[in-house]
Amino acid sequence: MARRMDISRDASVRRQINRRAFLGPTAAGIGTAALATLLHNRRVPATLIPPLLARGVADPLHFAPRAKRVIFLCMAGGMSHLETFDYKSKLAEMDGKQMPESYTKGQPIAQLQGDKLVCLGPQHPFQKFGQSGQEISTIFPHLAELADDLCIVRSTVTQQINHDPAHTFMNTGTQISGRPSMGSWIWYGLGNAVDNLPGFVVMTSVGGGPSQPIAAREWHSGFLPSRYQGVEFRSQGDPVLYLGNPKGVDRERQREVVDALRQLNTSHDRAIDDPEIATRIVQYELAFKMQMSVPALMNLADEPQHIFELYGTKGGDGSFASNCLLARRLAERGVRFIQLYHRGWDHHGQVKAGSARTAKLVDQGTAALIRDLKQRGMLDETLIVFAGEFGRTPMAQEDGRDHHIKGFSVVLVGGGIRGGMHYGATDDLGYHAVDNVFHVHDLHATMLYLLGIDHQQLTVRFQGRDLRLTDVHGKVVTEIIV
Amino acid sequence: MQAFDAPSREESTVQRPRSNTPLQALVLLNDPSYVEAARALAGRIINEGGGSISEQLEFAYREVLSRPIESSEREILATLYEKQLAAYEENAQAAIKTQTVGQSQPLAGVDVAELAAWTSVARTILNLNETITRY
Repeated sequence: MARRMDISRDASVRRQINRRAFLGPTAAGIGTAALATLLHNRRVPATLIPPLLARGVADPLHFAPRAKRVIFLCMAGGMSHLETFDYKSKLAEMDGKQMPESYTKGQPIAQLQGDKLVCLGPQHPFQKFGQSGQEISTIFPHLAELADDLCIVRSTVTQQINHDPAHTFMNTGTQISGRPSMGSWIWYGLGNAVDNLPGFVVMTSVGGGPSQPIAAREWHSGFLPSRYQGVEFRSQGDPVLYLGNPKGVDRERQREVVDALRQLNTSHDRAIDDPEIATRIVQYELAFKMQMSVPALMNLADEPQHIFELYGTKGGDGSFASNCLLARRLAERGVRFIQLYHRGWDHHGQVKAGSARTAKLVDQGTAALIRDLKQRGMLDETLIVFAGEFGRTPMAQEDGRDHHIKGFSVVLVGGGIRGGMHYGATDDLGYHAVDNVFHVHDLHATMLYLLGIDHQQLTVRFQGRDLRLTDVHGKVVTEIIV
Repeated sequence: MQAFDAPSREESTVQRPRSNTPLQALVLLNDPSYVEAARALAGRIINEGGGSISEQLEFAYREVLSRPIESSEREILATLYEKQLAAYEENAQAAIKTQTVGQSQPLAGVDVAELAAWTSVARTILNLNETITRY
């Protein structure tokens, strides 16, 4: 059957063979597949082509799901918790005074290494909002109105102190690059709910502060089958290039070309043992469908004026708010994991003005997304995560703050999360998470739980280990779940 | 090239990730550069490929994949050619349009419906996993 068969070479190949033998023929029954294999049939029955509506591997789900999808709003660069969701009066008192060594001795420091460590008080006033009286910074006037929907986790910790590895840690549960991102894991676990869009879509926006690069490997599928990798849509201009058929080619002619390609690639897939061929087949089918579905997705003519006013954008301008509106449209269509990066939180200097500027760029869009999902009855089934890759130091870096990983805030909304509460706490200077420490692994475990997946059961054997998103860590934090 | 994992050059890249996405499929199927390449290949198939569809397909496979075409492959592509030819004979305007993609001049002295149909076949061959993947 195979010209190049080295099963030990690669776990993904082994899995591919297993998948082919057992999962492929779900529509036709295992007998058909076995027969086709026995006959060495060069003409592969259509039922053996991996369907676009692939079922997830967590089928049936391990728990009753609270959420069907995740919208991850990444405040890239490292949003300061001290200017946003974690007010520290003691830090205000200590402004300009030396940071007590008891907090910082032996701790990892990024750019402030060797510098004199001085406290920098919170740069923006906080107020209590909603019936729950959640303390939120005044730089988030729109989000603050939704205080009773938010779960503010103030005790988040991560392990990596620089942007790229910290994003990698947040996305994959490890700083070692090359593992699958959470979006890929979730798509792999839950399968597709839509057959004409990818199950994992990424968009980025910038503004308000220095924008650190974000690499496409942050949404890579790692050792999972490559069809589960995130697909980046451009947030300005055409979201996807070359959606139109070539001149003189109508949809029927294009269909014939794509059909012939599928037949030829399928026969090649039988001859060559490479799981990428199966992915290629699926991606051409998806591409053909996206030629219709993406223009419909991007055509905002069906949105009423009040929606544009809610989000504060007309759409298509590359703004975070515009991406939020698209995120809602993607969520409606059944995309499993939607990740928006706003790259503008790396305020090493001017944290006061900078955090206010960046907050203004994300506040209304985020609040609009929550309200919009709520009015459509979709908030209960959509988990929204609002989180940077880390926080920022209580210590000053002139008039800014350095990277900080020992305690920062993330906000969770919808999808089975209890609103109007806060969870965990940092110490009185906002340095260490001291109460109910919430590790990134716990975020992942809880996220998977809400989707109906046991993080300990969603594993793939790779390089001799059953690897998972949470590695050997992670606990489901039931206190924040309804 | 962003769709093909080209780094953004904002930071050093020790290892490029390799991806396989629908965005790549769209570029290879519809980007005028690739369609123009298919157009050029179609011209060569007609001028250099021989007298029969069978020989022409054999020529295309040897040129693109450096191997003989298998009979099952020939059957699939011959069927595609016949379907496309019939459609472009019905719609000469569309056939002419296919030959305006890119900057090179349309090939003269050749039946435009045939040229359009061979362009479709060439696009198919140039999009094969076997063509775009180095083993």
